[in-house]
Amino acid sequence: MDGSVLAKAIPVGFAVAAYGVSYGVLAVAAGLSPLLATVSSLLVLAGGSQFAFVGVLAAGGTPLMGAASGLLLNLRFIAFGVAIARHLPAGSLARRALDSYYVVDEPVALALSGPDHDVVRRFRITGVTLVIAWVGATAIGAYGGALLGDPRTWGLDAAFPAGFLALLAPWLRRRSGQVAAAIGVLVAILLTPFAPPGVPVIAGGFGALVALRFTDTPASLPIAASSDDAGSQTSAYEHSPTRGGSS
Amino acid sequence: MQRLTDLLPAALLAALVATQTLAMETSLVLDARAVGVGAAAIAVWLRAPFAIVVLIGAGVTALTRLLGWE
Repeated sequence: MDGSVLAKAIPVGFAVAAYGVSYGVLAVAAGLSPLLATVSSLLVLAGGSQFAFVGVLAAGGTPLMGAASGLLLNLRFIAFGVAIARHLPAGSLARRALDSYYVVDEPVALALSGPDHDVVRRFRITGVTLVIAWVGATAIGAYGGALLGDPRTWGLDAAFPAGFLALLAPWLRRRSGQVAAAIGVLVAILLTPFAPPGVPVIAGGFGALVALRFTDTPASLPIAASSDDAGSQTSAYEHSPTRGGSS
Repeated sequence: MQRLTDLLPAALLAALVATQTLAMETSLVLDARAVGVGAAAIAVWLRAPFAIVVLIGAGVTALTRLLGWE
């Protein structure tokens, strides 16, 4: 069923490419060289983390702060890895390592949204599509972005928070996500005048967790559901408040 | 651990949105970015696709600057 897998993977590739071009432009605007921006997409292969990293750099934070934000942001990939691992063949260490490279939102979501016997193929085809689209688009944005001149003229500095807001949307549709987001905003804003750039973001993340320890809202994991009921799952971003109870 | 991986991104993303909309180094400012991100928020609420949200955020910010409000 290569055709049907590709029919799903290619639109995902285009969406990822649009995001990748903006990452390339913004990474260079934040001070990375076009080559470094492109290589970062090849090595990291995780849009949210990379945007967080250059976002912190652009705001004047240190690379270490940026890397910490990026790592924390994508802690969910640990859960993704666990969800996909049982479907993958044992294989050699190199094969497993290559598979683990594809553990990103899109390949995992597409792989788990369909019949069990085809999971590995969906996972790898989407993975390869993702790598080509993401790295290629980053290069286009990074090398072509210089033609744009001052990125502020095009409002590209606001493209960062707009993109993060879009990524945040699924959480905002449930109570626990709203609480976490509200506390994150509050802590980050309150700390901004007193802490070096980058620190308020990380503190906002942890501040929310500390506060949430004392609340009692049920958590649901994006890919906690088994693949049997994942047919309706269109994206790993979709957090359904009912999914936790349906598995 | 599940709760951590589930909710930490929400808090971090929200903190990123807040600082990148309102912070300039270590001061808080209300500028064209807030207008653009506000427009992007409406797009998110209307469930616009990711690329559209980003385009609206950047476009409205650029337009606001063009109209003279930095």
